[in-house]
Amino acid sequence: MSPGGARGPLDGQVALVTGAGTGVGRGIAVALAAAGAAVVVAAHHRDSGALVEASIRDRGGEALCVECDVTDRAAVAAAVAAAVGGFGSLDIVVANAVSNRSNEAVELERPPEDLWEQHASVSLRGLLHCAQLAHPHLARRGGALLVLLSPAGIQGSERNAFYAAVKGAQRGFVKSLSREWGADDIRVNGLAPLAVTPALDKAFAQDPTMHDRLVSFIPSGRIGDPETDIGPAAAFLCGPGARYVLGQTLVVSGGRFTAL
Amino acid sequence: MSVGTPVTAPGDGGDPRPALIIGRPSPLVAAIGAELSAGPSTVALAAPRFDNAAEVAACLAAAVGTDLPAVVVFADVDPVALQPRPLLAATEADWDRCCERPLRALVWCCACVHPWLAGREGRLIVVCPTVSMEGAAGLTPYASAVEGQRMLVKSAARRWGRDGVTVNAVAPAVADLAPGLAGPGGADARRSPPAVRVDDPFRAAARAVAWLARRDAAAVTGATVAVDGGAVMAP
Repeated sequence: MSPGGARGPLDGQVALVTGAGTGVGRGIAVALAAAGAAVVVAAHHRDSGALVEASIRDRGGEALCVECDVTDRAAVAAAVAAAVGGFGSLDIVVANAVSNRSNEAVELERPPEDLWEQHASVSLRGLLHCAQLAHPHLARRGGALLVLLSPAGIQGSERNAFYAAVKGAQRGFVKSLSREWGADDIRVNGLAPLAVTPALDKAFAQDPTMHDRLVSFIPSGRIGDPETDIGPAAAFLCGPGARYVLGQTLVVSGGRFTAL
Repeated sequence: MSVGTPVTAPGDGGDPRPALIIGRPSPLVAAIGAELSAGPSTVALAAPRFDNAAEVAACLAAAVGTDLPAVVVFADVDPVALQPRPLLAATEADWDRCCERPLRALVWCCACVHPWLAGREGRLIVVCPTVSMEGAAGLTPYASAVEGQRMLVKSAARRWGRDGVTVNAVAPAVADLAPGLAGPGGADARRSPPAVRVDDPFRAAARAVAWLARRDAAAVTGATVAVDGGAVMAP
């Protein structure tokens, strides 16, 4: 039952959201809970995850915080076990975790190897861990795996080729795995948001003109809110209304990106 | 041609353009070599192991010698990555070989070749099979790698345009690279039928590479030219 007692589209569902301590992950966790799901808030830092858990509970939702570094296969297994042990099942996995260095600029002419490893370990190996370990629970029950992508993974990025590359790779992952796991009654989809995040806030602080410049390219005239703009789109893709949607990328950017 | 041995041939409108093809020996690499050699260009081949950045740099430098390429083609495809396998059966080592290693390989090659291409109307062309655009069951790690490579192409195109360098992708059908994929067990790799028949898919891909390598293709960058007979027709 969603907070407030009304029935929600995700009533009775159990969701695991990685990278849920801040930003888009937090917004999606809160939105899934508002739609009726019990949510495992998987966060790299327990403190931030606990705040999200408390926020969901304060609104009448169900939540459980686990500390989870997705690059550690055992930690992902523990998060999955926490969902099944704490709430009885696992129906939805939102793979949102991203390197905390994802905003660093990359000179492709002099690629920093440690930064590449950061991106790959979280966005690629971390995604592999989440998918493989969640599969037994998602299969044959209409489960959903939602991967958080980025417009950079569709059109590339002059400033951050590594981020674009791993996000593009995740998109290839979504398309192929949706074809592979459709027969298991698992829907794999992607969501590419444009939203206010701690990383974007940091970039705005470094370049005070960036906010207005960015907004000038967004037809809706504002930057998306993780909870009220991105979260509901994620809830739709994970819910029964999207049961015939597989292998797709939903771009939620206020109209900023249209060249899919 | 042999690794590190330049060959000279006539052609590209009387405009010599030294070229380098990066990739293990394959029918595709041979076809690209033959097509580029039809011009007045020297064509060098390099087949790094892609163990680390230093190994790649040394291999490419040895292949090129003093004849620095203005055209670089990245056409390395690991045949192991084209063997269908359920994702659930993939080990971390499988994942690294079929997904992360091809991505690292292109990152390292980009770093090596940029100084050769910058300020010389350079061309970088990357072979990215269409599997990444429509996906294929059993090929998830490789499809992930290729779509990541395609984003590296777009990112480099955006970044290196100011240096006069174009960066593009040529996309053959993945089933053409590994004919077994079109048969039982691999049928998912050719789910979309081509609109026209492609008799020699390697030569078709090579011709697209040769066209993108020309100076008069300067306005085309960040693009993916599919040479799959119109099977995917992705945007």
